[in-house]
Amino acid sequence: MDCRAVREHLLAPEPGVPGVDEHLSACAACARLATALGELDAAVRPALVLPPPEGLKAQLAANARLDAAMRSALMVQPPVEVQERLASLLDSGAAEVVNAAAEDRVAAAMKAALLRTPPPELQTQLAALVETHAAEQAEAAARVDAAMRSALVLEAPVQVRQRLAQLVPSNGDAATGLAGIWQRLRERPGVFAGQLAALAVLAYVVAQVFAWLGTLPVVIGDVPYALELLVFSPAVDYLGQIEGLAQQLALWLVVGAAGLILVRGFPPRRQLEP
Amino acid sequence: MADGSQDIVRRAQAGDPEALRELITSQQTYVYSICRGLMKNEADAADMTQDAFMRVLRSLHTYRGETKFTTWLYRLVTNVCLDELRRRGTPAIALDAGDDERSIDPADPDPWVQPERWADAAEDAALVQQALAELSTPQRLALTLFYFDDLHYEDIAQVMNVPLNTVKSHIRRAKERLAELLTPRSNGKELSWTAAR
Repeated sequence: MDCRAVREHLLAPEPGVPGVDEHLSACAACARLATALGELDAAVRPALVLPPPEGLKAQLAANARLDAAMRSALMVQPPVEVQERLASLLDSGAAEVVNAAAEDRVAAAMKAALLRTPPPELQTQLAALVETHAAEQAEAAARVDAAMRSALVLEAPVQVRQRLAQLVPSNGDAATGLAGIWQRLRERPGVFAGQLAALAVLAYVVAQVFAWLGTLPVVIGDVPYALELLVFSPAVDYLGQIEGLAQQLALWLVVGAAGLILVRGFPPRRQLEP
Repeated sequence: MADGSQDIVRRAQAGDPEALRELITSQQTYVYSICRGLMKNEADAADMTQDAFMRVLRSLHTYRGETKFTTWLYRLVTNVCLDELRRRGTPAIALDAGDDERSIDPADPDPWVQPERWADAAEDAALVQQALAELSTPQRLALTLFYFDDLHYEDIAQVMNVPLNTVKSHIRRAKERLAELLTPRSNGKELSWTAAR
């Protein structure tokens, strides 16, 4: 360690620097400098580290007393009852919060530890297992359906079947020709009358329509052109006659409907199929 | 001891009047010394000491023990003084700024060859006060904190909020400057610090 380094050290000394003491014992100039700096420190220190004036000391002490008095006056300890309430609140609330947080953490840790993606081989096996299980379930469901069907859908007893057979006339018993018509007329005269009335109405309407058509000149050729002629010709005046025909048609339709209601009742009864 | 014990601090934080009194009594010299070094006159130093302790009493509960209590306290006092100087419109004081004064080479034979000359002059308290008045604010503050009993360079660096090497530099330069100012000149004057500038 040279003189320059030693002097740097003496100006801002630090403990535990090796070689300083040896240099000072060997170098008279640095030793004199160390002594002089020691004297300088001894002279400067009391000039820098100053005790405060007595008046300031008293003022600071008064400030401390004032501060302590204000603290004791303003910072009041809560009553025992409030302290107990706060303590119980802290105990229960904090415990619940801590427990809930702990449970959440444990659940998350267990989930992370247990819920892992299986290896591909296991995934394939599981998929096959699921398919097999689905097929078995479908087969079982079909067996259950069959059993239920056989248990619920029963063949009618012989007596019931015989009674039902009597309700349906056999083909061999059915009359043909005029005899059959007469037989049905006797069995269901209302139906026959209604059908006859409807037939008469239909014949009358058809006759009326054909009669009206017979009054119109026959146009053979371009249909759009014919419609155009019809619209712009005096024949449009004939359209006024359609109103009377429509009224007659409606009247006869009402007659037909009345006959149908008379035969089948209102609302119409559903006929059983043989 | 410059450092108030942790027990006193805890009791003072709890509002113990006796601990508060003990804290102020044990720290008032150091706080006043910092204020005296920064404010340059006794009246302002006294005012700042009082203001600083008022601030300490108000914000004592914010001390969490991350640093030494004295470090926290002296930093607070330093900030109170610098804030006041700033409020008065004094040019900003940068505690980490280097010196613009002439740097003295420790190997220079004058004054290092005959240190007894300035050591003898240092026995005159008035001359020492005059020499100290010539130091820059960062130098004086660093030297003041250096003479506090239990502050290390790291603590001083925290108080001044400057790097460690800057603290050492301030202290060396301050002593060099004092030695220079206290060295009698050849023109017969006992001290020539005004001529040396």
